[in-house]
Amino acid sequence: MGASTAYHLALRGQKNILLLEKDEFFGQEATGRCAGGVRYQFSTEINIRLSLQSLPMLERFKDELGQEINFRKCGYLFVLTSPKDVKIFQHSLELQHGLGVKTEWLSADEIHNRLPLMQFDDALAGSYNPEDGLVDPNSVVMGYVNGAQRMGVQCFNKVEVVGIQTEGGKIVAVDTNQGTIATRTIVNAAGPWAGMIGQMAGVEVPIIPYRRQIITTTPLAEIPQDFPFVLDFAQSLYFHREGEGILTGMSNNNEKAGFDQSVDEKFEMINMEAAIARLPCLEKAGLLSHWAGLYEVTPDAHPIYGKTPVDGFYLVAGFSGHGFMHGPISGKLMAEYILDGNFQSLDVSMLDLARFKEDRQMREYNVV
Amino acid sequence: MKIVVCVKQVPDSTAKVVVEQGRIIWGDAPLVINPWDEYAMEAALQQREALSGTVTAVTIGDESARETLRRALAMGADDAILISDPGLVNLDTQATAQVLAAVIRKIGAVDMAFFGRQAIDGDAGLVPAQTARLLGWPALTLASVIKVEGGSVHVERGIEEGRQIVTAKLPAVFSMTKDFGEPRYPSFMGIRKASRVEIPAWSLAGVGIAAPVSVITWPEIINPPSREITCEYITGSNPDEIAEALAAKILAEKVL
Repeated sequence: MGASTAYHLALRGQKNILLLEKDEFFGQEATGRCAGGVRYQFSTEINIRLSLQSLPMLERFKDELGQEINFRKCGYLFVLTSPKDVKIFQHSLELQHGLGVKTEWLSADEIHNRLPLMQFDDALAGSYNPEDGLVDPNSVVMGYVNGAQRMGVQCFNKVEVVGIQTEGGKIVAVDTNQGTIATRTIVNAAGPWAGMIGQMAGVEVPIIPYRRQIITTTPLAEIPQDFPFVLDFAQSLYFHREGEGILTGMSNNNEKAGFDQSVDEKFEMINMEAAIARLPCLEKAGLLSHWAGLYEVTPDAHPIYGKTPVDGFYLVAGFSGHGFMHGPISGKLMAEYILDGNFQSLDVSMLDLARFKEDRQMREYNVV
Repeated sequence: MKIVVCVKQVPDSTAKVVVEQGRIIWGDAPLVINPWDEYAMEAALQQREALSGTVTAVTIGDESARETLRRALAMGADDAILISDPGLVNLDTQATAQVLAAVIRKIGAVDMAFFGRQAIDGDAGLVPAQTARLLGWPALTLASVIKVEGGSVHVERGIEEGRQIVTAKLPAVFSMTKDFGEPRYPSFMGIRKASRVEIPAWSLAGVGIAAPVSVITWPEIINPPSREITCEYITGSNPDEIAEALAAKILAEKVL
């Protein structure tokens, strides 16, 4: 999010931009640890519209930035096993169709035919969009960082923000572990840490970090090249082809908020058992790697864009698991907001920080 | 064929190990099976697959070391034993070898005892040979190829001068190098099995020995002196230009 914002600001001709990253490399935290999924299938109009702008930017990424990002349109297939989910997804499908997103509705038989390796006897229906897919997160981050650097953005690693100085309700400087930088503008794109950064400026940002974890397997010859991104929605369990094996993850609904990014091996067993029950050939697979990362969750599972009560302190965070796919358009929107004073490409003004105090929240249902 | 693999729990290889107030610490980095011991596991599992038998993983440590044994079980070990006792603290290599030799004797009728070539924390690489000495068995260290024929074993060793082929009678102790081949990943089935296995803990009394006495102490532990490193970015308008500039720099600095 930070790299995209810096790139788009520079693209608009803004000078004196600094991108500060506390880690040794860019994209090592939430972005680098995400599953890389990008999709149009959402339940709210604003999220669908964000995808309608962001995913084409990823399709044009190589032409624009010269960086291959391996966009693989494998399609997302949401498998629904509860009548309640079927009803909500049918409504979402109508919304998507109304916005020009050609998501397909699948019967249980069609799901069985498309996923012969999987056990979905309890499937009631599903939704599938062939334009959804996977993108390499690190390539996108480095594409934006390199693109920003080519336009003069100074990108620093191992520079941790430790404080924010304000005077009269305005930003005047940012304190880092490497020294203080005078500035009138700060963009808080710290993802799961956005709440902490907000506190430094005296701004309450309702973003909570939650651990999510992923497993990848050794090669499985049975998995076809066109295996889609499959989501067992009721269990928040997902699968996609990763290399010649499978990547699987599952959300722990009992996960407590926190910054712990170690793998919870007890929950990993639950993930593994659930995954084997759906995809039995996993039983013989080897565990190639596993890791955990952090979601940055807001109360309504939508991001926060724009200004804060402190003049010059902007926020673009809280994407609740969708930050990677909406990163391209979000960086562009933030550049517009900072330089023009409003969002030009898409009106996301309803996703402001004030909505939480003014009871204007909207709930995204398709959160995994 | 009865096979024992001695494994050790160590800080992850990516951990930043530092000394603070005379103590070695590695922050919140996870503890993992010593990577060299995964090669030992692989060698042991291949012997079992070729010759039939059982593979038992053994480690010395506290309760957390059970996770290291579970990794060995998930890779395919048949069973595992945790050696845990308040008397087993700050062991030097010969004290460790005393315990492991006693455990191997207690297990009984062991044909092959496998170790990684060294542990990535202490890096001594002495325990395999010291254990062999205490058992009175051949020490076939730095092994990269193992072939058992009857009661004998042919081993290819990687040494500084090249390769050495040695032959010995079983039982024997082996320490494995990565030239043996990549260790297998634990399977989902193996992880599931490992999560359900009850791992017995043996105390020193259970092993039948007194607490071994370490003869080596570490009177002072210090961080290595920091080195000043300057980093120069090689830039250019295209990859060929960057590569040319880099090659020129390497030659100028007499790196090659």
